[in-house]
Amino acid sequence: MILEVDHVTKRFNGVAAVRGVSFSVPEGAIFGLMGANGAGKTTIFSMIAGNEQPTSGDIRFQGSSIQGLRPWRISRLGIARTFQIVRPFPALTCRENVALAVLYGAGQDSSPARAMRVAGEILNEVKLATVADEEARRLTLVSRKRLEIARALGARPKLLLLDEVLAGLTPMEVEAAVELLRHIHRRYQLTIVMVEHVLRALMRLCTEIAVLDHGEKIAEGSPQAVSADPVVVKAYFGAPQ
Amino acid sequence: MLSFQLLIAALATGSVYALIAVGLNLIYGTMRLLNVAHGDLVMLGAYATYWSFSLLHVDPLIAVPFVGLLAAGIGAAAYFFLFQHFLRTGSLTDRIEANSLLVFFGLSIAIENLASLAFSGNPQAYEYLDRVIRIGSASIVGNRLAALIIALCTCIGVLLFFRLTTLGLAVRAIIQSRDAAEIVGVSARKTYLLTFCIGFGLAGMTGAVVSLYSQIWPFMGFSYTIVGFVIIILGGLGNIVGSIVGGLLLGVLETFGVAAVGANYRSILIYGVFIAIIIIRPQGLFGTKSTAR
Amino acid sequence: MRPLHDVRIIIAALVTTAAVVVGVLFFASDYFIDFATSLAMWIALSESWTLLSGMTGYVSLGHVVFFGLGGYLTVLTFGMLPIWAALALSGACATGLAVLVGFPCFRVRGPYFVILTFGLSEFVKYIVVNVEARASKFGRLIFGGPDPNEVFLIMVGLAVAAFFLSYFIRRSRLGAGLRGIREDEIAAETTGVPVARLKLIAFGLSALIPGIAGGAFLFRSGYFEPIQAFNPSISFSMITMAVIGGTDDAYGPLIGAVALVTLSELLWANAPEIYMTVLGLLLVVFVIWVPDGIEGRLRNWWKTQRA
Repeated sequence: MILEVDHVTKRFNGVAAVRGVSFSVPEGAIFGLMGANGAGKTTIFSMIAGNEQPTSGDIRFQGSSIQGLRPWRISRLGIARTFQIVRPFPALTCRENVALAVLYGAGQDSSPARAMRVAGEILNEVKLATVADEEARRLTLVSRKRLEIARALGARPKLLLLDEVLAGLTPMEVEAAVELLRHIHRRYQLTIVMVEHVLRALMRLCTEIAVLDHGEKIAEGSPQAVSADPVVVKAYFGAPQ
Repeated sequence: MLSFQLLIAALATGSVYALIAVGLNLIYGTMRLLNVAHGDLVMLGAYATYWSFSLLHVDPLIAVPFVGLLAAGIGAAAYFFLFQHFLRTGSLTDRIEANSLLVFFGLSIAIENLASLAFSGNPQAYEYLDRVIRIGSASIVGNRLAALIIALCTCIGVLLFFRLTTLGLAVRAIIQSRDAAEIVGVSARKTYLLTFCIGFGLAGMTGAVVSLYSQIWPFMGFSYTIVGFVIIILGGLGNIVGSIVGGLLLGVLETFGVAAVGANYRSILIYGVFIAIIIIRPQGLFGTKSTAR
Repeated sequence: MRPLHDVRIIIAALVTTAAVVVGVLFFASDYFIDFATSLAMWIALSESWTLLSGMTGYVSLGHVVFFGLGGYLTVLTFGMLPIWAALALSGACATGLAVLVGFPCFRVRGPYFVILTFGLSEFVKYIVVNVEARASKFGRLIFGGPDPNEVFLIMVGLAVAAFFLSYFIRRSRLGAGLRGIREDEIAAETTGVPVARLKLIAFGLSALIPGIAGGAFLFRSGYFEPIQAFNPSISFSMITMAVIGGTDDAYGPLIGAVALVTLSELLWANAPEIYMTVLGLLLVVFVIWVPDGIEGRLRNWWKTQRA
């Protein structure tokens, strides 16, 4: 298991956003976290990446606890995340955005010149080569989401956390993004955990899905099993009137 | 009784400090702008009162609200000409903080030096209500007492404004969360304009109050700005009640400290409190960790 | 990241500097040597200021504290230490002070750093004022320091060092990290940038040369007086030079310093208040309407010319 989330709870001012959630992600998997808004998905990501500290519970990466580490340490261990509300470095070019991750992520490249080259290659993989030297703030939302993925890849992660990279895209764009995710999963031999509420895409991509509702895990299993689970159906589509 | 005398003196200093900090903190709380030129508006307010008294023979107590209005007008102008521009582009908030800081700093230096050109660098003062009044065992000069009363009443007035009026509620909502406030229909831009007016207006009024008892000169603003910063850190950023308590507290600390170690050490005392609080407890005396973000 | 360093530019800069230095030393009047010394000092100071504030966006409003501290340490050790040792000590202590106060402050986000820098220089100033008053010293005169030509050479050395420090950091891994902090601190830290450590390094580096320059300035003025050595308008001048010139590359502060030191020669002696007012207004105008500074405008103009 590359990632183990072990009875993690997070309270904000006494209100529990995540309550006793556990799941494990095997190496090489594409693991889906599903749930309505406010179910606690992003909070779990923030805790794995070190942006938030769990109130209780433990998170292990490759067998050792990463609890209490600063985000940059976690990044260097090989975990990269994207943000739901994308936050590229606005005044830097796409190439510079990715190069920064190459320099400081798990790869720890020491040469800016080489980092810029590697960044170019990664932008190529995510089909952003044509805008490589544009400032990030000039990009469209779709491109910015890709840049967010490219920057995460630049950090040379073993585990990639994708926070709603499909949300807000048109069906055609979703199609292209799904292809892209499959491609980088193979190309970089990644383990991916993705948070999404675009159900259909999750079903197609994931090998395993955990479903959250109001901060608690209510189901886990293969996409088929999860979508047939009456608890999930009830949480998602509401009880019959 | 020495201590009662000191307490009155502390209250006189602290109430004016509170007034400075409330205006400063209001602007910080709503817009995350640190008004480095706050003290220079205090200076302008003091000069306005001084000139209206010595040239037009206007009673300074009557001048106080008008000087406040004048300064509020400057605040509105500053908002329209300089800051509206920044606050409209909400995406680069971190950059806005740094940039607006530099704009205020430039304004501060320009205002000070213009004032020095226009009014000469010599300190000025006028005599007003300078009879000593006895309160029980303590005594206080009339103009200090007037300053104390005006400052306290204004602070209480500001608090009531925020508690009781819809506009005040809008400002408090923006301080809590800009996005949430906008969703429920609070116009951020109107609130910003209002805050600029109130913040600058309070600075002008502070100047009028200060001029009652203190010498005024073009470069006096800097020390008032610093005192304001000390207090808003002490009382918590964006916390209006904290500012009033913090202002009074710093007044007590300064008055008793100076009584103990001598007036030469006043600045060291104030800045020492400042450095200590920022290093030991940056979230302020009453703040929680999360407000430090 | 700026484009990688260009050896031609480095050589050109060094040759030009050497030519100017030789020219000034052999042909210039005392007045001009004084002017050139002042120019070199302001280049060194404003370049240093951008190392932290230009690159990370953490604005220091009290950089004069390092300058004043350097001057004070140099005057205290004058006659006891060789000049170079006194200057090295000044630089080291300035860096030490920056790291010491930066450490607690950089852990929290928000305006604490700004407020700290604003108050710190005043705090140190009043401590020095009181210590000096206790010792019954009201200004200290220095006799037998280096002559004006030597001071000029020291300042030029500092200006060159500051320029290249600024030039190379902007092209290094460190510089990339600092830019990330300026653009989005949370995203930078999540991408692996050790933000607290980098800010501390940048603050320490940006304090180093002002500390030494403060010591060297002592020999130019010939006396030390705390109210002047810690004058906030020194912080203000370095900021304005950097912002007007542009903080995005090392050429910016250089351009800004040349422009404003020249302006100051024209205005300062007769009308210091007008000079400071102009500076204040320039700062406001540039921050709002020309945020990339003169250097940024020139670079854009150059790009459109070639395209």
